[in-house]
Amino acid sequence: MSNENVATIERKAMIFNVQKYNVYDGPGVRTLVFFKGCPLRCKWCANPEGLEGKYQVMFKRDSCIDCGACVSVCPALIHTISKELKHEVMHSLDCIGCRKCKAKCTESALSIVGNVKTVPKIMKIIEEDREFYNVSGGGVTLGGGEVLMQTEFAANLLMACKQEGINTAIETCGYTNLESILKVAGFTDLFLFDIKHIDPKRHYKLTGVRNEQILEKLKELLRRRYNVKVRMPLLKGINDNQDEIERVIAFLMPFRDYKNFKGIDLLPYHKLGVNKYTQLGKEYLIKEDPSLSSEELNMIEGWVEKYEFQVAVIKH
Amino acid sequence: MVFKRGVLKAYPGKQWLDTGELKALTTYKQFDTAVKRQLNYLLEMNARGTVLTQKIFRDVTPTPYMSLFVDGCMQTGKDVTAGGAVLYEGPGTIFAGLGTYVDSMAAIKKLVYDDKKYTLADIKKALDANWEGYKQIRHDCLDTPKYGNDDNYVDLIARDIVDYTEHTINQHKSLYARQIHGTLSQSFNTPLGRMIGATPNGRFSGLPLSDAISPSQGADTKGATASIKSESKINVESMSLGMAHNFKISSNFLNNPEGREGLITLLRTASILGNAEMQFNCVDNKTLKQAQQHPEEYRDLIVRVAGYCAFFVELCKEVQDEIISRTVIQ
Repeated sequence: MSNENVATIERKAMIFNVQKYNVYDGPGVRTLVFFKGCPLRCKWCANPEGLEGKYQVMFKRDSCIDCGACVSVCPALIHTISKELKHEVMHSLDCIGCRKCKAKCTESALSIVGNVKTVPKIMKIIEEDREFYNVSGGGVTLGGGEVLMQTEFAANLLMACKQEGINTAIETCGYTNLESILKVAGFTDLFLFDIKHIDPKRHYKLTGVRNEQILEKLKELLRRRYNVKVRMPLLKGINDNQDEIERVIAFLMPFRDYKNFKGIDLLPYHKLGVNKYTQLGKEYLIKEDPSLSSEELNMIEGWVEKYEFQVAVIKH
Repeated sequence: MVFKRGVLKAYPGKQWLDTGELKALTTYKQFDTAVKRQLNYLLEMNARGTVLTQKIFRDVTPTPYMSLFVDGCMQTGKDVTAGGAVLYEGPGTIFAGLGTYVDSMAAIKKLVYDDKKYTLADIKKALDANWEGYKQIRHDCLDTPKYGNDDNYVDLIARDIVDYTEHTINQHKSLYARQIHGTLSQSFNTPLGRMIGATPNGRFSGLPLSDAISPSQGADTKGATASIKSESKINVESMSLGMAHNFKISSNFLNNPEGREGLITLLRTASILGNAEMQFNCVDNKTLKQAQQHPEEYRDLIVRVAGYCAFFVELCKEVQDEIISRTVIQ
């Protein structure tokens, strides 16, 4: 496909954040573009506002004074007042993203997630931190949500970055078809590829999908010599036992000495996104605390190092 | 001051200029000019005071010990305060509240002159009432562009006022040189804030002003890189008496190599962009709040205030609260 065709197909994407100064998402200091929408539903997801591809209301119940100002301006009837005269948000209805409610709320209790953005708009923001990328060897990382649900746009954005000499990375769950992943691979300097669980049935229970095609894509990227770093989110009692870790290692062993295989990052569970669930009207499905202690993390790091893999624990 | 036509709340009588009716300021440029007239008056008074203080030091409290270490004094047989040194610059004035000022000007520019949503009189009413009963206006003021987010709309106002102040004060002579100004506020932003009423950036009466050239507490929402970009637009040469940009980093951040590298990048890039001084407090608010409750257990906790370090438990509560209210980099 010629450059011209790629550039005209998808000019807009649903993004939910462009965040600067990230140091845990690829080398150096990076600007992270968050794509809205994800095919998985990992129970521990720290970005629940990125799961659905549409506009959503985030409502801080504690700040609300039930004044009804938002109810009077909402064209989609999402904001209502209950019989008990309390403000309720009908999260199941489709928000149109007009943000009139946010403008009216004097208590800052409302925000709307989701912005439709074009490549030039995002590039302008990315350019602002150029000097920081230069000093640190950083650049741009696409994440979310799942980047590859809006592949055409992702390819356009990455191409624009490469044209400007900016280093690129993609964080992905890999649940997509081969054509999509190859479309972006040519413009991606580094893939940060997640392995949530090695067992297909357990994977399904934890994320809503099986993992066979995910692992296939990982192998394809490695075989085709694209730079890949594997990331393993670790939750105590869920995917951290020695058997699981060793099965992942066995899977990756054929690629261990490939120059394009950049090692394994262990991502310990953290609670940073939990309060967002209530604001979205969702339930956080992890009931006990699956955090790992430093000792437990060091132990797991040891299991991986034993097999001579490059491994790092990414503590926030 | 323009709003109050010369009357400072804390003291009786009129100390400042009467810049006339608010209605007469029909463009942002006119408003800005009125503000600068007040500033000129302030600088004039300040300059006279500075020379007076210099004379007092010279005549009443010279510094012979320090003069021993300053080139020229031994040779001329004159104290530093009496003009014995080889080279002089300043003294001058340091300012607090740059962020508060710039955000306030931007709020007025946007709401009164660009969007024409309110008049100056509307804003004055809200300020006089300390925002009571004016929630919507305050909400709108909080929503305008803020310094510290790499936004030229407001950052260039900062550049302008710093250049203007330096240029103006340079016209005043000190005993042995010209007068200069700086933007490191030490801890004055807190007591000065007590004397100043509500400001158009949304600040309540009596609360601390912004410190040094840092963004107003909580106004920087785009992270450390944007904050550095914002203050890089100010000319460092125009802050001859010094500047300081205060950062607060959570202690977790330095516990891993990525965080440490990230901090180094901030410092290197800030230097490349022409910044002269950055100061870091690496504490978490939890520790600071505990230190407030149990000072006896935190006697050795040192924090960076703004241009100097201090034992946290020895600071007064208002300054402690102000440090706690500054934005944290995670």
